[in-house]
Amino acid sequence: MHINLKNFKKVFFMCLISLLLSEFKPILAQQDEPKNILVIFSMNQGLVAYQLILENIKEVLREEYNIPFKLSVEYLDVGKFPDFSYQQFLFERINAKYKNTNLDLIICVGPSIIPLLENYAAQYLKEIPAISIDFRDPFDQNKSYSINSKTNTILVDVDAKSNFELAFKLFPKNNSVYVISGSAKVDKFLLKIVISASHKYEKSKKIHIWQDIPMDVLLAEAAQISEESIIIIPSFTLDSLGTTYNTAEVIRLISRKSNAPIFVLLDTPFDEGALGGYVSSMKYTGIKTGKTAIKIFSGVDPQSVIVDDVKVKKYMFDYKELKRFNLVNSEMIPENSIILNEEVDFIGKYKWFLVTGIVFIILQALLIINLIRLNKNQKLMTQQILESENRYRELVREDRLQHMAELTASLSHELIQPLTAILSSAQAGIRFINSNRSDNETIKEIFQNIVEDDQRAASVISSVRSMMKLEKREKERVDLNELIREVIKIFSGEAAKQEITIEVNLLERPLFISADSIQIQQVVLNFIFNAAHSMEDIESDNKLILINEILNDNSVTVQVQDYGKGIKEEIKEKIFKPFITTRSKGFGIGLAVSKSIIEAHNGKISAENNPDIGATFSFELKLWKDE
Amino acid sequence: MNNINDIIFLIDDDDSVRRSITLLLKSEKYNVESFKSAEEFLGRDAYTGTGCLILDVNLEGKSGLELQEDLLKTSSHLPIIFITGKGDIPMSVQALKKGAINFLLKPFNDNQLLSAVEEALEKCSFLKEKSDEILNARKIIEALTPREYEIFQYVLTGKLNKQIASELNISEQTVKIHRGKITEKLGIKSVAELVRLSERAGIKTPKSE
Repeated sequence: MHINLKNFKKVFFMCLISLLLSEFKPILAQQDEPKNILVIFSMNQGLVAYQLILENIKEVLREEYNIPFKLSVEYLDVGKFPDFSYQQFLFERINAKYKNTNLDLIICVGPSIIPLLENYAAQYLKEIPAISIDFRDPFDQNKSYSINSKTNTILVDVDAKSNFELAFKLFPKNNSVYVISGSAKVDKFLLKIVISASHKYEKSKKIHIWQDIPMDVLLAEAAQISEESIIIIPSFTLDSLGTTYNTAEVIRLISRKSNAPIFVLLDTPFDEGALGGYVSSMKYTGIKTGKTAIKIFSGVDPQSVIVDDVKVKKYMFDYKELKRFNLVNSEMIPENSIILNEEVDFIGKYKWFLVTGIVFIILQALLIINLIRLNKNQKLMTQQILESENRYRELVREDRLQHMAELTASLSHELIQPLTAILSSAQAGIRFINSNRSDNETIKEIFQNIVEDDQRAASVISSVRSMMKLEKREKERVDLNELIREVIKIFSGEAAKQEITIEVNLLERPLFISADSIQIQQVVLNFIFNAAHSMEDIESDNKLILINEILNDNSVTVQVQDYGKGIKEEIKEKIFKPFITTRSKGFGIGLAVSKSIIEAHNGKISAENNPDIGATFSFELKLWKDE
Repeated sequence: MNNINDIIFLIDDDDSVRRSITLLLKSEKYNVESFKSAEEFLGRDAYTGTGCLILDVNLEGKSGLELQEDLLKTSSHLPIIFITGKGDIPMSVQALKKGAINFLLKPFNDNQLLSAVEEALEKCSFLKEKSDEILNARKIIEALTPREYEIFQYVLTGKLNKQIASELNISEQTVKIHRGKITEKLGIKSVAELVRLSERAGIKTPKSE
């Protein structure tokens, strides 16, 4: 096709306009007159066949036809009430009822409805386009299915022959055939078709025809049907006593009495108990009718409308029954069969959901396992940390106990001396007085001694107490250099007095440590005092204390170096133990306290003689984490 | 009852203890000499008189026990009273085995110390007496000539002049002259008395064959 630019532009603009207008489409559709459809069924309302037809007509119209429709339904129920006056009365009512309705289509559903319309329907009804649905009557070639020239006929063929073939193919060993029929006109019509097809098998199989039987008798008899039989139920809408039934209902009742497979000719009775058959489907009849109606509405001449893409006859089976007879995957089941009530094959239908689900569950399980493992590991680690912490604490505690034991031994020794002295002095005093040889001087001397010795004992205790107090002090971020400078300031007076030169080599930047500054200052001061003391006897020109700072990877070492006497060989080993001293004054507790302080700061303390002269005392402390 | 010549030597490195014990002993009129260390005590002139030693076990420098060892090697007869601030049983047993009079734990009562001192002084005067005897006996025996001492030893074994003469390969008359000199120098005639003297002097009697 040749489209020039001008045409293209035109098409384009039309498209644009229709796009713009599309929003108003529902309003436009509403403005269309709805199609009025009247459906007339010749039998009673409860027939499944009618429901299937009706439902599917409506569905097709709804799905495939975008003009709204108004559908009215009439059930004539003439099968059971064939009285003429009643029929006449019915049509008088219908004629009057739809007189003012602009009917677009009449759908007549048989059986045998056309004569009724011809006899009783008003003329206006007869002139409306119609679709006539009925079973094709193979025994009456001249039967009319049209009421006017605008009638489309949809004739449903019933193929009994194929059903016999199917039944014997599936159950070759079942030699008895029971054909069970109701007493209604349609029942008998379908039975007649079956009987005529059965003649072919009369010699090879035993054919039983059961008709015109009351339901209770039928059911009692059905119980006698062996499972090696075949039951065919074409239609059963009325029993011989005049009770209306549904074929489905009857099949259900019979299937409960007999285990023989039940074949059907229509798709109406698939509910419970019917195995299947080559059926004439009311459902597809409805679909075909709906499509035909659409074509008629679109203006096609009803008589020439052919809907050939919908096949009414189908092989249909009930899945539960197939299963019961072990025929589910049988090759005997014709291809393209419709399987009804197919059990939801859960695994088949939801395979991918299942696979996804299982994969998800596995992944989640793995995740959970991993989490549990992680959690366990963490717990283990926490436990290990706790254990090592506890161990550390224990060690510290043990160390402290050891320390305490040493201290106690030293303490008792230190206290025993003054206590011995006090006791002896006092007893000496008593003896002097008793001997009458006492003079005031002696007594005074004795008391003086007692007082001094007592003070000495008290100071031992207080120095120990100060050592005990070391624990439980808060540590904070402090600048070591600042702290050392303060100590030197404190000592500077004493240094001047003793003519000591102090040389300080500190790093210029602050060195932060985690410490109790007072305690660390105590250590530095102690070192300086010791250094000063060791140089008491040397010439003032040589009195020099060097304070150095050495920066290590993550720690700092402070050294206090003197040029004094050095550490005596015999006390070198135990210099940091309490009550070890070379001084006349003091109790030798200073270095022990210093050691405790440094260790409480997780540091190291050491003392060494210099290669030439004097000694160097040093301590090492960890730097603040970020330093 | 105190011998005014007795001296009690006190060695303790603790000034207070030294001072107070000195006072206590002085209250009972004892003569006291105190020292800060074993070395200081050994630096003093050797003492031959009676007295006792109050000795601290844990001294700086030479310990009390070491001093005890040293003194045992000399002729010192000073009984030792140990004093100590540390109750150490093995140490005290060792000290007592080696002849210490007592082992006192500080702080001790005056009675404990004074009775220990008394006991020590008694032992000392006894020892002194004995050692004086020995010294005298030795002095007497030392007056003999070597020949006389030789014959003196034969006499102690109870041998007759004749036997001695033949053993020494000299005449019986010569033996008689030497014995006369011995009797003259020692002032003892009987053999029994000679044996007693030699025992006192610590000379073992040669066994008679």
